[in-house]
Amino acid sequence: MSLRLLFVDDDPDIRTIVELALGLDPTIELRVAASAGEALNALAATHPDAALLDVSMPDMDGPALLAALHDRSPGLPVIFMTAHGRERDVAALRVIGARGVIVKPFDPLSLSAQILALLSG
Amino acid sequence: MSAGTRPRPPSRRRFLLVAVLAPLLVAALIAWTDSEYARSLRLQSAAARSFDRERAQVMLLSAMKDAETAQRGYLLTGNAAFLGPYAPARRFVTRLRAVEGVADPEVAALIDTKFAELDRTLALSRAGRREAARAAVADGEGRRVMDRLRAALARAGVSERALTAERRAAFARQRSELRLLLLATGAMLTLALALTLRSLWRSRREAYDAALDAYEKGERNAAILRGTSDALLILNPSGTIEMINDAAGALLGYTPEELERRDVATVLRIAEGSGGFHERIGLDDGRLDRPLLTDRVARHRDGSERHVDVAIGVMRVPSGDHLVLSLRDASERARVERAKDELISTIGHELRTPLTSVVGSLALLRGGAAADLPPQAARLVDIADNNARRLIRLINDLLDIDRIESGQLAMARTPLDLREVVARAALDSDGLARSRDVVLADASAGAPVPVEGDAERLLQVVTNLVSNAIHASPAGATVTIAARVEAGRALIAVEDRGEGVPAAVRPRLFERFESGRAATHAPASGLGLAISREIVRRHDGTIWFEDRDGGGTRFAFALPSPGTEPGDAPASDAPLPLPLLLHLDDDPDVRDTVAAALAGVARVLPAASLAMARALLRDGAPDLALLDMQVVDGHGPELAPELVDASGAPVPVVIYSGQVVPPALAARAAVVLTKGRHDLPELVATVRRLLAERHAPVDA
Repeated sequence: MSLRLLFVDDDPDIRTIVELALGLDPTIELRVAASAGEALNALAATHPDAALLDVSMPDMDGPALLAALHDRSPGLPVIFMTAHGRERDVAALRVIGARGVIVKPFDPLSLSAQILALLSG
Repeated sequence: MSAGTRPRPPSRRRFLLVAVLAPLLVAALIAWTDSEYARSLRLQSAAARSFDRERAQVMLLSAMKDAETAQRGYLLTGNAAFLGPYAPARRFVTRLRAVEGVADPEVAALIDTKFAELDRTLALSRAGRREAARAAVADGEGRRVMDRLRAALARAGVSERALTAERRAAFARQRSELRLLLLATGAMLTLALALTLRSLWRSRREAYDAALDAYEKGERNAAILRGTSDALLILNPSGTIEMINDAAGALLGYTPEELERRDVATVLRIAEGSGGFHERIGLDDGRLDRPLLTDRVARHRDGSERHVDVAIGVMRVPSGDHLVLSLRDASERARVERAKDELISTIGHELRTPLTSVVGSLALLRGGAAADLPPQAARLVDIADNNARRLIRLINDLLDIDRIESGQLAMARTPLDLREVVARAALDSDGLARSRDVVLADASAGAPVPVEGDAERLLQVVTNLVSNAIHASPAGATVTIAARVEAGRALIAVEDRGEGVPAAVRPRLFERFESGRAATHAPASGLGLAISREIVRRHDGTIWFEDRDGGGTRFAFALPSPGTEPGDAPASDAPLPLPLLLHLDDDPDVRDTVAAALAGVARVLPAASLAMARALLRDGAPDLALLDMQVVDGHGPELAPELVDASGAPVPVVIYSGQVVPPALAARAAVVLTKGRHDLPELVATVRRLLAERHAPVDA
């Protein structure tokens, strides 16, 4: 059974890398959105099992998008990707309901394993 | 700015010499002139007297002739009227011959003879014997007497005239000499006066120039003092504010005039306690050798307190040592620090995002996510990937330092086995080791090495040490990593066979931006060891390095290991590498400096307080104790009774303190060293000596 994962990032390079990296794992079915608005549309269309969100995006930042996603789909596991790996940043994201945090730069070859570990943990 | 030379007072002795000699010289000149003038008067009067005598002789002869003429007239005519001038001429002669020097005995005798002849003939004539009288005259005796008199007077006149001329010449000579003397004296006095006036003028001019210079310097310094944005105060030797600039006034809420001549304690708490101001502030005992007092309390006029950093300069002037205080608002410093931290943080994170794309793309290329790469392309991708990762490590190091500085380096401590950390570090470093043809050997103990620690952070330390060791190693060498429990502490050692740490960087190896390795091999930012030290320190551990027998370096760190007792450490195949030294000091900088200086000499167990030191002593006695005087919970020497080894013998104690050590407390110390006065090499030499002495009896 495959995992339907919604990935939201405004940076097209990161989107390409994540698409390629997760494309290596056949158990992940990836839906990519370039903005918070796109993500909310995709949520309604695809009913993902989990979401991987960039923290800083122009139209709506990650934490706000998390709130919007949880409004529509309570309990949806959300993982953040951030360049701010300080303990207090990570802790702050956990407090607002993140399942886990992946700190940039990440290793694309072990990205799917990292995501699955965070979701199962 | 050069300080200039201090002026010397004029020489009193030289001045007194001139002041005594000059009047003496003038007095001597006056006395000489006076005596010459007196001599001149004497010569003049002598010449006058000669002339008078000469004239008197002429008049004498003339009076004699008058008397003779009167006699002859009377004798010839019998007319008594001819005798009229006779008596006056005779009186005149009597007066003239009384003048000194006019009549010598011959002249006097001739005068007497002549008058005797005249009187006799006149008596004959009056007695009516006029013929006998005429016969006596005609006899010619009277005329001969007169001729002899004339001749005598003429002789006298000649010599008198010569004498007069001689005296006049002498007088004239002396006069012209006197005139020259007067002219010379006048010229000399004029010259002396001119010199005196010139010297007076120059001295006044110099005094004016000096005053002008001092005024200008004073104005310039005052302008600098006033104009600078730094808050400055000048304190006199008793701690009174002598001068204060506007910036300091503004910082403290006063106008400068309000604070001048007030004690510095009014606004600044820098010299507490009792005694003289210099004593209190530490000028006398060397506490101002590093003259920056950080985070002192300044009292604002409104009663609020401000935290300031105070830099102190000593101004040594003739009226006593003044202090120049420069105050800086510490809150401003904190703001600047925060801004810098924010900048580092922002830059670090902004760089990470594009690097994520770079590293991610390269990793996917290497992993074959796109397509299999031709070998040359794969090599290039490897190079790009390695360097991109190196950039990430640098940024991570920078951000870690930023966290350390801002106190945000949090440790998530959980129970773990250090052998696992070593295994992961070996795994993570395997690629690097292979690329540099270095063999990694894990020589960890068979038994667990338990610690309470942050696994990721400890891994970072070990990985850093291993990476350094690999970079230091020649090709084909082995880097050994080992974790074991030793004397109740968890110990991780990383050993290489590199060239060792250069002596020049040894004392600062754990400082930021120090890389002990040759620059070409340096893999890192120079921050790795500083970060490692901080991480180890946050685990209440110590990190050090030492030279290995046979070449190479051993980096090691030791952490408290819960659940192990000193006794149940498994027998280690190697003896303890270095003697143990307990170092008690509450200043972390001193602890680090001493630990770095003693690297390779002793294993330093740092303690910040008596309590911490006692806890360390429970694990066994050290070989040497290095104690500070004043720590938070007492005095270092209080530990002395507890410093005994297993056999009950006292452990040598070195007191290393910036304070004065009372003799009672110094008695137990083998050596007392003063911070600042004795430098680190001296401390190291002392420790070496005491350790050698301690082991000597065993060798003997």
